[in-house]
Amino acid sequence: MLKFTSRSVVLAAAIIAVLITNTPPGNAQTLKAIQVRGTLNCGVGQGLLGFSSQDDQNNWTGLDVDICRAIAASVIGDPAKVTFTPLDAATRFPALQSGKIDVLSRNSTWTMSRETSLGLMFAGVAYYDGQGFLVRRESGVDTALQLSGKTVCTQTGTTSELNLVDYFRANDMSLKTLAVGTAEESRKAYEDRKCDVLTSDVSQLYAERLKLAKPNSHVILPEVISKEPLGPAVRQGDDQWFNLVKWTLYALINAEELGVKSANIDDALKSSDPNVRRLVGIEGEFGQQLGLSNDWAVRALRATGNYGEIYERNVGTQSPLSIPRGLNALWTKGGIQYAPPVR
Amino acid sequence: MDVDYYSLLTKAVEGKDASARDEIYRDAYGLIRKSRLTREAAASHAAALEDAIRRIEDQFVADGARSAAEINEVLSTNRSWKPIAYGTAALVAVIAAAASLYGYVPSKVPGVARTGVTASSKAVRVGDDVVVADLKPGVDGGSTGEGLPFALQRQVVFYRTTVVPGSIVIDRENRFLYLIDSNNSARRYGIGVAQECLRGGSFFHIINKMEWPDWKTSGASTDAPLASAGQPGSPLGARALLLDKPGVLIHGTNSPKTIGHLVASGCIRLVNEDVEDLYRRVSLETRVVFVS
Repeated sequence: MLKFTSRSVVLAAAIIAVLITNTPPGNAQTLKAIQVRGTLNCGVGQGLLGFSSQDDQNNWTGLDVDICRAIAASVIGDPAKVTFTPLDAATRFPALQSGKIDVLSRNSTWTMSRETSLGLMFAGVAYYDGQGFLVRRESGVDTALQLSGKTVCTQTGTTSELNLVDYFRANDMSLKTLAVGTAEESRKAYEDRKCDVLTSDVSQLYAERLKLAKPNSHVILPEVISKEPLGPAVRQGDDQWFNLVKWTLYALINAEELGVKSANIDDALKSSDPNVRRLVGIEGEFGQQLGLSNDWAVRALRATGNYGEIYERNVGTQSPLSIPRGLNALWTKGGIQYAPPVR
Repeated sequence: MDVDYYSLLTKAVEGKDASARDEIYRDAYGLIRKSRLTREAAASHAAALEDAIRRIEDQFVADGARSAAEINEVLSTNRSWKPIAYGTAALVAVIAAAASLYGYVPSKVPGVARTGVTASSKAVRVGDDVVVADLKPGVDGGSTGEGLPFALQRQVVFYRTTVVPGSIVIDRENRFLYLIDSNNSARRYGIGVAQECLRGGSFFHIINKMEWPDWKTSGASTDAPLASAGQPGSPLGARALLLDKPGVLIHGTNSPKTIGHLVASGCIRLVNEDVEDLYRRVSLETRVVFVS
């Protein structure tokens, strides 16, 4: 039989009052849960070369994987403390919504409907992708504007088919298509010379190129005809976690812009440049404003290097893909990667 | 009073070819003539010298016959070995002499690495700091980027810049040269960067264009044409674009495998095919901007 003494009522009221007043703004439960658990739960793809795949020792590698490691480093202090969950296209968003994963880093395109109707938010763009074209080097074509009259392999019912029609119409070019079912069939048809052009997202084309008989006898044209901004996504409703993920990504990009890389982090800690000093935490309290210590960015950089290093290692010149930086170069170096300042 | 001409001459003519030996013999005769010996003494010295020379030359012929026999056993042809052997020895001697004399082979480079460039779909560590050795002048390593990794082959890429189309942008850190086109695109070429051109300077223009330029290293006499200048095998390659700062130029190479790496000499190098392509597309006064 419960005894409601006046003392227990007062105690209960006090506890409730404390809970109400101390609930962090925006329901900041994710960071706390991660710190209690000790690991970051990261949702990734199921084997996409350059973005998220496992090597023969079952170690996860890739650009999306490195973003998660950087977040783990800045939040927990250890880039190894990540649990990777490979997800297919159908289960990726429900896993995030249900709380099974803390961040989705699975080359997912940032679109309006995903933000407004799925209850999630994209914390920046890690990779600007888009639809492009692959042709044979011997064709002499070096711009998409020369593709009029050429046969393009397309997969029926995809957005890429629609983009193609729009692009050719806008540039007054005549389009000939060969419709196939899967990406595999597309590649076969191109190899058998049933079509002159392969079209897909540029990152996919660089991976497909490696599967062709003589990879170097094919080129990818410079034009990108659609927008596929890929970035990490988090649940709505937790502003603190959203800021954390977003600013970790921005720290990596700012570091490249400021010339801070793995090899010179220790020198950066002695820098007199105020932008570098604020980034590495010897000036200001930007880490604390995120709920972390002031060396939050340095931890991330020591784990993965800056954005340029992550890019080159996974999809750039240090990987078989060799994708040129293109749109993903810094805004000062011919691309559009632009991070707001740590200020 | 007796001079042992045989042992003296043997030492002197060791490893020398026939014409060099002749010079030495003539010098020896000359020394006897110029000396203040009496006529008989001079004559006997000359005779002794002649004997020594004959013995030495006989030995050379005998050695030649022996090695000819060996070579003939191996080759089983009736070809005379002398011109081949002398020719090879002379060529090797000339190249070695030129290389060491003109200091083209880098002598004290720490950790010179063999470039591990293999199948072109493999990765390359563009931008690393290891200096890669050049092929010797006169050795033609090829004119195309065929064996090079995909990223270093010339290709048209997306590239946004505020520099006016038609200009050249060079990214030394990442080892690329961009010839800017309109429409946010550029022709990108892989480059090798020499240590002396790695830093400093950002804004130049082309003041001269040369085909198959002669080359000289610093310190060499200015009027000595070098054996490999002006043809495949030339370290400066097929073309040179000289900029308005001395020593800063864009040129070809006889060692395509150095593209993408730091090198010991030159400035900004492209494979010959690429530099010919670039040469056709630019004119004097073209702007060249170094962005890193």
